[in-house]
Amino acid sequence: MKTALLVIDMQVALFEGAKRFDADGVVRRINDLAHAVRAKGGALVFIQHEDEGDFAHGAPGWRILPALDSRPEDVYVRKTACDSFYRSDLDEVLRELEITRLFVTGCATDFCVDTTTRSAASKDYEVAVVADGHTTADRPHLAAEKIIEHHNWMWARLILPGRPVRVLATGELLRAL
Amino acid sequence: MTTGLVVIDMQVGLFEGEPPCHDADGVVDRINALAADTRAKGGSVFFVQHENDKSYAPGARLWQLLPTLDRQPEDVAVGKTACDCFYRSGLERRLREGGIDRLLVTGCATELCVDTTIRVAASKDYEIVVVADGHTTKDRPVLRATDIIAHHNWVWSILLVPGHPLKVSATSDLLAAP
Repeated sequence: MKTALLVIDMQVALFEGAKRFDADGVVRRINDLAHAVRAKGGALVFIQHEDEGDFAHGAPGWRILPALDSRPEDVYVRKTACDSFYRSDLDEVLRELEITRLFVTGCATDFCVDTTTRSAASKDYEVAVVADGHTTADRPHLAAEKIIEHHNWMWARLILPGRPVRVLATGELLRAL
Repeated sequence: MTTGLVVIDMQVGLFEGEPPCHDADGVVDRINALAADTRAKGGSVFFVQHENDKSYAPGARLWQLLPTLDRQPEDVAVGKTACDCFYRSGLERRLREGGIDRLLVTGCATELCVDTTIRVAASKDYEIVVVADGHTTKDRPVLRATDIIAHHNWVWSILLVPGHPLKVSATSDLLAAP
């Protein structure tokens, strides 16, 4: 089984405009996982949101956080919707690389991370969400930390016959790799 | 545009036990009002039912739709086995047969089957209206039902789907629309 680490929307503008819960910790854990996934022959897939404003392709806000260990040989996918698969190359790229298992990380928990997780599960990928590898901001009605906890709880309970979504901490995944 | 009212998992088994689903009677009343309105305006009503080979086997007591739901012979019944109502089910085909391109989404549970179906349907390019007061869930270990409902209504209303953003509307607004 070949694994890809999906790193969703860890882009400058998303971290400048809002305070993301434990952003430094999330970056550090994504880098730890990236190291382990590369060592095991897996792929790093950086997904970047783009639109016509701060996220224009190539703009400073569109760039991946400089603290992330992204390398030229990694895979970069452009997308325009919360669902990273929507009118993007993601599915095709993963199939070309014969990826069947996805570790999902990134921002924001309740938008692009959640939507991509559900979409990937319905496309029959084996999905593990990294419980401490995604983040969001405080919302008008809920604190970021609670939202993260809620989404982790819920993904672990999604019903998919034969292939449940797993929600695992970085440490557990590093031991399992 | 032809509208399909999608009623997800409003089944006996999901409404038994503690804690109860939030405002279950109110949600049923509003779904019934929307179903009558949808039929009157030329749309169709789709009742989606979760099934498995255990307590939700087709025909089993827990699998049955709530008896308080207003069902009519022309309504469509669809079985499914995943939170995503489209996953290996007949839903997409039945919607296509009905010429449906706009979905009103209701049902249970907010954060599981309702949310997953909404996000997947958005990526299939349906026009989607989530009925803000037409879905429900239970208090969970992390969040109370009312917080879960408010959170998901908020997320859906600003979900990024280029060209056709989701709408989240109250039943009364939908009934008042021409």
